[in-house]
Amino acid sequence: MSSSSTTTTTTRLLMLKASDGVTFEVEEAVATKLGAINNMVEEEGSEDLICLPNVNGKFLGMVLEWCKKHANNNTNSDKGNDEVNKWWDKEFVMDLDQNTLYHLLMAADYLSGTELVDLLTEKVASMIRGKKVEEIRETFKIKSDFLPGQEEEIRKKNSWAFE
Amino acid sequence: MAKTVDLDQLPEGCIEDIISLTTPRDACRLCLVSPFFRSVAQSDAVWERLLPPDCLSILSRSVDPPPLPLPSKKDLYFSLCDQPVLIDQGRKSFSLDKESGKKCFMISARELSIVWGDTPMYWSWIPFPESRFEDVAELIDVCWLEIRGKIDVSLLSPSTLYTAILVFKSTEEAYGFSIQAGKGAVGLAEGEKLTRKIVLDVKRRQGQSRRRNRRQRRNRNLVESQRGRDDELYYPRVRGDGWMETELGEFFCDGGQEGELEMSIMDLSSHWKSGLIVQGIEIRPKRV
Repeated sequence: MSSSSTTTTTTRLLMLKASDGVTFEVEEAVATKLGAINNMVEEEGSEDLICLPNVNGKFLGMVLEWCKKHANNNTNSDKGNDEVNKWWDKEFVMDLDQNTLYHLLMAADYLSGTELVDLLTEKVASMIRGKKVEEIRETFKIKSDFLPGQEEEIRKKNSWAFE
Repeated sequence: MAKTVDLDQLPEGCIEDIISLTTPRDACRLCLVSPFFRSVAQSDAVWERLLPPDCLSILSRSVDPPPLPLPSKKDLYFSLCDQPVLIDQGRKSFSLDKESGKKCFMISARELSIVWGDTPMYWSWIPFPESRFEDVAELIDVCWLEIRGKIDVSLLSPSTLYTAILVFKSTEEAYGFSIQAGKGAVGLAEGEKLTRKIVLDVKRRQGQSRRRNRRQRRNRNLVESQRGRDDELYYPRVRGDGWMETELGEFFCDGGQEGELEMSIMDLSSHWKSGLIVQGIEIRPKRV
């Protein structure tokens, strides 16, 4: 991958600095699972310290934990690893509270971690599928601020969905 | 510590991703949750992904140019569910299954290969206002009833269990179908085909047994005596559009198969059959 001949044996370490000053030392192969970091490494090359002012340390840590698992599991690619990744992903999102879930999703989106975005959006979608309007409002604590009469009109327009 | 975030504070792109991963029904329900969700849940960005990825390329094969101005993607979705579009010179129709958004096709009688279909004393071709196609095939009289249809599997939606269906009516004077069950078969051209026994007599529906005349009763007994232990008979059902349908077989499209899917109806018994009106063979997701 790398054009430099000196990096073939030793793994390069990157330093990632979160918005609250927390820093993480991560192997390049792990951090570059995130598209945004991959771009920075390719463009800026020699820079070892990367500041991420939009991501809090707690969530950056979780994102990197996910990257690490996937980087490790992908080193020898066979079908068994797919299964391991799937199982691990399921565990990863299983008990996330909504606030953590959204923060992680925003962090993954900001860092262009496409696979992680897919995993987290699917988790939220699974919380919506098959639910009634009232249940969705309750689950996500959404207040309906439609004008009077508007709801009836929308319900009529989408009547099939309420059959 | 980071502040508390709600779902509607996520970047719009993320919310679009999330809604695209639900179902058309969920997306419609979300319209009623709040004005914000309504604006995203009915956006083209979301419905473009609820439509099949090759939808526009299939529509480019349509007989009629699309109406202008182009409808929103959501309107397009529902119009494709309710009004099949004729494609390939009007010889096939394309529509969507409302619940799943999966692709459905009907192959017109003209596009099927019907043994003796070109011989007017056996089959005739008549315009039929209740058909979505220009004309239908009416069976005048044959012993050898054989109808075959095929469709490129790459047109079908992946990860979907499909069912193939003969869409037909029968004339008042129809005869020959109550005597014996025919054979329906579905499978890849290159592969093994699963066959089943099918009934094309519209007077014979599942569970209908009382108040028949002696002849029909005798015929029914004949059909039922052919029934093996695991040999279920597939009966005609009335469709929402007034036509009848009999299931010919199922096919699981995993998305990786290649070639053509073949469907057939055979009744090669030695007696004469008449009065079947064939609109086509439909391939649609099976409701489970």
